[in-house]
Formats: sequence, C-alpha cells, structure tokens
Amino acid sequence: MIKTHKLTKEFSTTVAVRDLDLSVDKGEIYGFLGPNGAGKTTTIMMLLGLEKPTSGLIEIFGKPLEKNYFEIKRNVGVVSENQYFYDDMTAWEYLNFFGRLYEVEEREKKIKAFLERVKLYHRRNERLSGYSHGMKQKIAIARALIHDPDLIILDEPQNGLDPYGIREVRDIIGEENAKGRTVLISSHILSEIEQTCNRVAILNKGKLVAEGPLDIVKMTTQQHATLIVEIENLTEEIKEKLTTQSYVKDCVEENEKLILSVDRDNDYRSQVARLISENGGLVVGMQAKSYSLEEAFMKITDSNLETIIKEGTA
Amino acid sequence: MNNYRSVAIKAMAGRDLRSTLFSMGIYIAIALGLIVASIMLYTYVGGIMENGLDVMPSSETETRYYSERQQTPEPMLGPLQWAVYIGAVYITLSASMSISRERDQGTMEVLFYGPVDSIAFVVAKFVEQILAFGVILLFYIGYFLILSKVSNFALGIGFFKMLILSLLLAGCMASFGMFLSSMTRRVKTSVILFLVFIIIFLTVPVLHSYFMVNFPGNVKGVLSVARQVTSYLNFLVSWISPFSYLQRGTVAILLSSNIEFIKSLVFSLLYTAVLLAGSIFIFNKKGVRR
Repeated sequence: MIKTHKLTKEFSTTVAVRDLDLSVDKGEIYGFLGPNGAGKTTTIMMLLGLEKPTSGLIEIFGKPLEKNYFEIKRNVGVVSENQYFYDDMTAWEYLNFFGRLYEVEEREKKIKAFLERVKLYHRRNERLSGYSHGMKQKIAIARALIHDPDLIILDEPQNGLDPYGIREVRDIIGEENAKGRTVLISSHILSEIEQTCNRVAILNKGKLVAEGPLDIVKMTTQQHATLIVEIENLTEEIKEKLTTQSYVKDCVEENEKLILSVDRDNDYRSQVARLISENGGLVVGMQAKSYSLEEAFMKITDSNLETIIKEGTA
Repeated sequence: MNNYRSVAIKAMAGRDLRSTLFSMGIYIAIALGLIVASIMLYTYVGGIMENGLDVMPSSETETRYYSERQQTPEPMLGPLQWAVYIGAVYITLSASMSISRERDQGTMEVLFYGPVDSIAFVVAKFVEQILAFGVILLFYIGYFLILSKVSNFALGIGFFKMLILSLLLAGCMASFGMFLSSMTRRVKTSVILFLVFIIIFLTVPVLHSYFMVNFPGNVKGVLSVARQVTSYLNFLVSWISPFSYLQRGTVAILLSSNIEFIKSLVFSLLYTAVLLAGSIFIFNKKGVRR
C-alpha cells in the first residue's frame, strides 16, 4: 500500500528524514511513532507530495505518486496535526465542498451519515469558527473519510480530544479498518497506538530505529526477558541453583518473589519451574513481565540506548 | 485539461466565488465604480447644459452620425472606463490576497491533501477572479443600460468593445495580483506589495508626463537625468502595469482602430498567460505549507 525506499529529506541545516524504508501492507493499521522533530510529519508530507524528497522513492498503491498524482490523491484521506478550516463555512458546506472536490456520489446522504456518526448533525448549519477544537477534529475526520478512501493517513488524530472523543476516533479507525481500509497513524498517545495498531515504526532523528509487529518491537527493546516467580518454601539453595543456570542473567528476591532476567532466545518458564520443584520449592505463580509500548518507545528513542538496541536486535 | 483537474478547479472556484459574493468587498467596489461613473456623467451633462447644447439625438441617430465619421465620442465610455478601473483594482487586491491567504491560514495544505495540484489551484483562483469581475461587470452593464434609457445617450460599439477589453484587463489584473500573492506567505505582505506596485504604476506615468510637459526642450544636469530615468521607468511600467493594457485598448477604441484594438487584446492575453505561468512556477518553489 505504501512503500518507501531510502527516502531522505534534507533541509538547509538538518536532515529531517534519512534513508527511510517503510512498508505498509494493505488492510493493516500501522502506527508511526517518534518524539517531536523525529521526522514523522515530514515523512507524511512527502508521502502526500507536499514536500519534495531530496532522494529516495515513494510508491502508493504500488505506483509512484508523481506519475499518478490525481488518481492516488483521490483515494487517500488525510487528517493533519494542525486544524485548518474555512471558518466562514458551516460544517455542511465544508463537507459538501470536499465532496465536490472528490466527486463523491450521493454526497448529501453521505454528509448526513458522517455528521450523525460524529454527533454533529444538529450543528451542521453553524459556522466552523464557532466549533470547539474537538468538534473541528471530528469534522476533519469526516472530511478525510467522505470519499471512502482506501488509504487513511492520520497525523495525531486524537490531538485535543476528550476521552469520549478519543474513543469515538478509535472506533471510527476500527470500523474503517474492518471495511478493508489501510490506516497509517502518527500519534503521541501510545496507549491508543497499542490498542489499535497491528504494526509500528519508530522514527528517531529522521532514522527508522524499530519496525515490525507491535509485540516484536516491544521485545526488541529488551536484552533479557523478565520472569516474576512466586515460590512457596523459597530457599537460598534454590536461588543459588537458579543463578548458576547459563540462561539466567540475574536473580533478585523481592517481596517473596524472585525476579529473574533470562535470555530471550527461548521460553525458559518450564525449566525454571522444574528446577525449583526439584530443589524443594513450589511454584505458586509465574508470569513473564510484559513491557508497554510506552516503555519500549522511551527506550528506543533515548539516544543513549541506540547502541544497546542494535546489539539486542543483532 | 486533465478531467480530475477540471473537477478540482470547478469546486475551488465555486467555493471562492461564493465566499466573495457573501463578503462586502465586491459590493463596495461596485458601489464606488458606479458613484465615480455617475459623477463623471453628471459633469458631462452639466458641461452640455452650460454650453446650451441640449440637443439630444436618439441613440440610433447618434451612433450612425459618429460611425459615419469614424469617431466614437460616446459619453458612456469614460465613466465605464473609470468604473472598470475601480473594479479591476478590487480584483487585483482580491487576487493579491488569494494565494497568500490560503497559505497563511493553512487551508491550502488541506486542499493539497486531496486531488489538487499547483496548476489546478492557481487556475481556480484565476477563474474565480474573472467570474467575480463578471459579476461586477453585470452590475455596470445594468446601470449603463438604465442610464442609456433614461438619458438617451447611446451605448455604441465602443462601449461593447470596452466591455470585452475590460474582461481581458481583469485577466491582466488578476494574474498580476496572483503573481504578487504567489511570492508571499502572509496576507499583510501581499497587501503591502500590492499598494507599492499600485503607487508605482500610478505615479510613474504622472511624473513622466510632468517632465515631458514642463521640460520639453533641451535640459541639462539633474533635470535631464530625472527626465531620462522617468522615461525609462515609464516604458517599463507600460509593459508591466496591467493598467497600461486597458489604456492601449481604450486608445484603440477612441481611434476606432480595429488592428490596434486586436493587438491590445493579444498583448493582454500574453501578459496574463506569462504571469499565470510565473505564479505557478513561484508557487511550486514556495511550496504549500505555512
């Protein structure tokens, strides 16, 4: 659906995006993450042809944008980070204008349906200048979807929304994806990305530092897996035995639980349980610590840890 | 033209025209144009009365009389020309804000998320300005038709030639305004640029005439240099000022020279095409984002 090859954008004093290789498949919800200034918006602008790449290739729907400009653009829906509206227009007029621009069939019916979907139909004849930030964001989403695009690009779609609004947007993304549409979301709300995305890419200082299925990306930030083991009859002998195992990198007792750092190359839970039981202990609970996307994100984008990640993923 | 592009042009020009028609500016320009035209006609009629020339031939007789003598002293021509000037200045001002306003408020970026490219955008803005000028012209035509009925002054061929010419002038003015607008990122800068150029376009010919009338013979020193400089500037302005294209056409109408009239139309079209191409070029260089 989207493919970039060695995509680079240089400005006079900085390199905003460097040798970026992205691949977004049809029908997936792809999270595009990175701290401020990482190059996310510049990448999105290049995908849309609003910024000219310094070098590299972009393909959308398997075609280069510059040669299929109108065809591609009519099939993409975009919500930007910033809200730009014709404030002299009402919500209805605004959506109607974009409906005309995209030659939407049964325009009025669709506008009505979208306004009802975002619960703004009753305010359709009010000027957009009187709309709140959240309401404008919903209109922007309606505008991006009015022409039933196959590819939806959302740059911080939940910016400034209250929890109800965030949920509504999440539902809309889910519904659109269920219809087979591909969604690329750039967001700072990592919990939302975690809930909605199948795959993520993390960009830092213009470079792609992690990419893949969400679980894998979360894992790549950790050199070792962490097992939290609750043991009845925990003895020093058990601790010693565990520490001498080659796959155990660290063993700490904490609140009658053992926190074990083990190699990531295998699932060692059964081996750990067996060893404890052979040495007179009883495992009453064991869980592998799962890392949140936020933790992974913080780790990945921390410049001091870049080398560690490389080693970890090697 | 690419069908997708024409759809985009139609949609954007329609939106902009609607916005123009719902704003005060265009009606102020129309009212100003009509007031100036009325004052000029009133002065003209006053002059006739003062000289005791109150013979009022019918429109038909008048037209035949002057066309037989290859002359076009139509009383409506001057007032229409000034009304057109005022309408055209409004169009230039509006055009000079058209691109920079959208860039300034960020709406341009949103348009370019969709099926809009630089050609579609610039052409849509141009079409909207021409349509807005068409609306202004409709008001003028209605006004002069009523005046013609009431006063029995003829609306001769010169009047209709002036209408055609004024549409092309609007093209020159709109393309000039858009050229300025494409160079700036802020509406304020566009307006300042517009005012600077309007002042230059109006003062240079006046200065040139001043030197030519008051110092026609051999002059030396500073005066000579000043006369030479204003002469060069005037030559330059006669090609870059959109007003001069209307001036050329008006002279052609007054001289009843069809060749000169057609030449002025061709020049106007060329001027418009060059500036529109320039606007698209600069627009592409400047980019879409704020």
